[in-house]
Amino acid sequence: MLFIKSFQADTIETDNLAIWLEEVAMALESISYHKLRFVVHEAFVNACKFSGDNHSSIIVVIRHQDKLEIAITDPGKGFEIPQNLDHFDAAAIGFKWNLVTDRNTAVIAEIRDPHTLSFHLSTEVNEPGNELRENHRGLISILKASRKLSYHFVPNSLNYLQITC
Amino acid sequence: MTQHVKILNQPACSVLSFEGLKNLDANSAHRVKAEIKGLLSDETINAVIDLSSIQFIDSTGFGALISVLKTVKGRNGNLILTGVSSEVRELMDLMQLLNVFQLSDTVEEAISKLNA
Repeated sequence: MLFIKSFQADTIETDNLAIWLEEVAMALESISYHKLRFVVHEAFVNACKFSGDNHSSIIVVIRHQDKLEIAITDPGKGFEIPQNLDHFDAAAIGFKWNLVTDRNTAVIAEIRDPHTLSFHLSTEVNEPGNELRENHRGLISILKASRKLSYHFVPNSLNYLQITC
Repeated sequence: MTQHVKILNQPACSVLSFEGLKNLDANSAHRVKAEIKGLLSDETINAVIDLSSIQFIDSTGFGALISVLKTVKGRNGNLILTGVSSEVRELMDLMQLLNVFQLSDTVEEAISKLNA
């Protein structure tokens, strides 16, 4: 099953997003509406922060066997990576860094391939990450509520956050 | 601009509740946080927040509640959340916040806990 809809990238749209997701959750029958709303809402708000005026975010929800794949596009600024790195450089593949630390939890980012960053939570906080900012709080929330989280850089097209629940 | 937070000062605590607000999220949390900050006096040690009207809380909303918790904890006080719906409880569970906040079913129950 596939669901796709475009929303203006403005947090004022979150009420309309919630209404659409209620229909999606009802059709899927495999995920609680509240969990689906929470995960997509956090990713959408994050995409809005990267957006300027007159941008939209496309949200895709696909159910594949027992997994739910969610993709949320943003207009292109995407995630910051360490300044000395170029994620398109093959030598950077496998590089991991501590994106943010929240009390005893760190968000680890890893360059998986030239176009993909993956994220996971770690309780082994060896070094301090960036100070917790609001978009990081959203990222931590998505990680806590999902199985996998990655960000895809798509040259000449729309970058997107991919969430597996 | 409409004020969403109401306060009732009791001998043992301040009781905060929301009027005309269903979502404590990126659109409302900053305003709500500022309203609460303005309503809580420097003498407030214990607080109860009644979430009966709230159907959805996002990470920004939880951040606002954590900020209030930090304020009262910093005064050696306590914060109790009441009227937490099953939907919001599900989100708190998802965010591993059920052991961060103290919950009570009703405001009266919360007040008697704070009086004990």
